[in-house]
Amino acid sequence: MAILSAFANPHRFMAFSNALLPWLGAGAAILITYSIWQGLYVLPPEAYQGDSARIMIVHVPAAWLSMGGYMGMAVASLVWFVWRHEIADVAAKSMAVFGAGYTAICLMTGAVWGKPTWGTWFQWDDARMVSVLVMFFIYVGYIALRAAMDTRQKAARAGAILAMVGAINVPIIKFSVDIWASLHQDASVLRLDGPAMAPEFLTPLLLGALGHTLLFAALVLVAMRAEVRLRRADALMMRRMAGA
Amino acid sequence: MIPEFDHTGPFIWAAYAFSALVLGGLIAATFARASRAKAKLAALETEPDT
Repeated sequence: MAILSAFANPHRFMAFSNALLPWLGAGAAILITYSIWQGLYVLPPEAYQGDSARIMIVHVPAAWLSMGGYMGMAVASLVWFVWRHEIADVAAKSMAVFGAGYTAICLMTGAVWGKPTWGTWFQWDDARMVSVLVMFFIYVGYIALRAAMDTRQKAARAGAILAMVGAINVPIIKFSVDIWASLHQDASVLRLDGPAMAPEFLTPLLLGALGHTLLFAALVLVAMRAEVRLRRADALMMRRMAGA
Repeated sequence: MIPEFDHTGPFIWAAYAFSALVLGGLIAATFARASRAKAKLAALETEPDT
């Protein structure tokens, strides 16, 4: 709670994020470049799927970040809803765009991986595919809902409620392959009995996922800093208009 | 040097290219917005109150 309160102060947030951004950016650039190089040049063809398994290097981190980003947005929304910390609303709003972007990457790369592997781009009765598509629509709906509100307070409130209710979709996505019959394979990394993947595939995948996580964090911080500045500019303009 | 893949090569390139396009677009748009926000606030803060 003390940490939350500390970052609720915009000045402290701006100073902290300014110091953190170069490290996040550098880490993301190194790790993502490494994972792409591994994915395109180093990984051997997979025993059953051949070269198409190289798509995993971009698809899996995107899938994790689409869910992780959503949980981040839902938690920030909860913090705003309970404690009314302005910076939590700024964080939730900023995460939505990048979460939607990573969900789009997950859906698109999944489709181009599915076509040569399963013989279909998308299966409408597959719980995993449809639940991820639903999450993409929730992200887009969240962004549209906020934009449709005429005050910032209304946008924050409506957005927070949608984000918190929509969080129910995250465990549905995660466990969909265990509960329902699915074309999609079962979890092969985040499993109770450990990853079921050869280390030569697992290492670049995990490092790539870390790189994309750092990139996500960096982009969210840049977007949050812009939003804080825009809100400060709006407040200045309002004060001047009131004084004029 | 361009790597050679089996018959799934076009799907692999499509996946990597789409990801690069989305992420590149997001990065460019985010920094452009950040730059506009910084300029807007700086202009307001340096402008004298009337």
